Amino acid sequence: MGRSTLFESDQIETLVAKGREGHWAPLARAVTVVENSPPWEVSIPRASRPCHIVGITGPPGAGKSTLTGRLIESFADDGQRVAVLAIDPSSPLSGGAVLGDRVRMETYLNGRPGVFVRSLASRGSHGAVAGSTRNIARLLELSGLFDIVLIETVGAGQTEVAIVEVADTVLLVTVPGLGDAVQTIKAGLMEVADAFIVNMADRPGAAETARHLRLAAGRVDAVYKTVAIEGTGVDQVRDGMYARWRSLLEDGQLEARRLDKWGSDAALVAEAWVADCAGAIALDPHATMQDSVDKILKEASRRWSR
Amino acid sequence: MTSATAGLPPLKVVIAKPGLDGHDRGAKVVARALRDSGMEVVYTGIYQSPESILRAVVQEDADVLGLSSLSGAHLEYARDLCALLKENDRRDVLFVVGGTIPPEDADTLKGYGVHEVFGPGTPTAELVAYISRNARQARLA
Ligand code: B12
Ligand SMILES: Nc1nc2c(ncn2[C@@H]2O[C@H](COP(=O)(O)OP(=O)(O)OP(=O)(O)O)[C@@H](O)[C@H]2O)c(=O)[nH]1
Ligand SMILES: [Mg+2]
Repeated sequence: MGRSTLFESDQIETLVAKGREGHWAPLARAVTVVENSPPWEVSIPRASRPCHIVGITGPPGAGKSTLTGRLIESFADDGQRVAVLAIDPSSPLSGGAVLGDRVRMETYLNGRPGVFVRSLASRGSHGAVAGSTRNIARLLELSGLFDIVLIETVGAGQTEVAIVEVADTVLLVTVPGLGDAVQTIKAGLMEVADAFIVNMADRPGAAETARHLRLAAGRVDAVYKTVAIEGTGVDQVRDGMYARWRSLLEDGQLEARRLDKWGSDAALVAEAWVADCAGAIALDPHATMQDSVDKILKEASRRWSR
Repeated sequence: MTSATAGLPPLKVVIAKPGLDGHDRGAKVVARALRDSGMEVVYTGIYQSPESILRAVVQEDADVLGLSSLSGAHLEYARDLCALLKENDRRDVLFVVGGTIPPEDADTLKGYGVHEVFGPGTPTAELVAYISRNARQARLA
């Protein structure tokens, strides 16, 4: 069986106690352990008290980090305990990364010692989040140190929708001009969003973009307009998140959404396990596809039960 | 990946610019060189205080702190940071300083707890090699 890095209750106690005193080192180290472990080695118990996990996604340069900084400010100053996971792409060539989201958030962290911000590299996973994001968000939730976890994805294209597997709420950040009629009918990211944000509303065309989005927004709760560099419109987004969280809790939607994710979790772990095993098996290039698949699955299954 | 780091997760490096020093070219050159050697580099931006730099090191769980200073204020900032790292149980961080550091200051910096100093003109391959070789020593030990 796959081994598990279980977070025992006494380990969690230590994280919580230290975190409350403003010493983030133990929690940060625990995040590293999860980040560096393959998913089948990590098993994080469910938190007794959920916190609102909000994904912030959208095209590169739309202002996601600046907006996240402003949301930190808005939520924290309203008494909320905020954690942020900020994901940037890893270089496919070197495997390294420059994680630049934090730069935009630094000013909002000064004087707010209860805010925890962690940058993550995508490490080759697709869909604009890191493979470990889900488990790290769960660890943050389990710590009980936060009311809200904001996750900034890598600058995402239409099809990069993995954030829905992680977040209770997906905010799609666009800018004027990007949300025109053609874009809005496209499938993908637009479909999984729970609310749209037209950032850079100081630029021309914001009202029109918001109107297009509203027309296309079948299931979306709201379309917000923000100017992240000035902080305009950010409190409205915050209040919208409060309202949404209340309704998710009240009508049982959260439970349903989360149960759905716990179900798909096993499938994702199994997929990762098989891919990992497949990479380690010498396959005969002349064998039939059927035989090769058979070999991979048997070997994956054998190793798992070991 | 060098043989020393093969199989291990990427090194996490925080590159920070303290105080009123807007010279960010060197910091960015170094950040890119480290990325190209497979490290994960968090850049904090300019105008950081020792407290905000410590916060980044702790929250990011960095293996390496690289301070870039071209304003002449390196002694004070490095001394404060060494004290903060000790107070916050992050003595295991590899702490390197670069920029316009007069050669005679290198020993003073090392006295505070800085591990190595890299002046103008250092080939990036040299600092990459130093960091790959020396990071995580304390953590693994
Ligand atoms: C370019 C430059 C500028 C540009 C900066 C552009 C930018 N965005 O970076 C501009 C024109 C804006 C500028 C302005 C000023 N500058 Co100027 N500037 C320089 C200059 C000529 C080159 C710096 C540079 O970019 N080098 C290229 C990079 C790649 O090299 P580097 O930074 O040294 O980095 C290398 C190493 O040091 C090391 N390294 C650096 N950081 C790190 C970090 C780590 C972790 C590691 C491992 C290694 C490492 O590795 C790098 C690769 O080898 C230097 C002179 C010099 N020779 O250094 C003066 C210099 C730094 N500037 C100086 C001054 C005085 C100023 C001003 C105050 C001038 C004024 N009166 O207005 C202003 C202040 C601006 C501010 N807000 O801080 C003085 C500083 C004196 C001091 N230390 O006491 C210098 C030394 C010139 C001099 N001899 O008088 N400057
Ligand atoms: N005019 C204007 N500029 C903005 C606004 N919000 C952000 N910006 C600027 O847009 C640029 C990109 O902002 P970021 O917050 O880094 O964008 P991002 O979406 O996080 O970028 P990636 O993480 O690289 O995808 C920065 O120069 C910001 O200052 C805004 O409301 N109006
Ligand atoms: Mg960003």
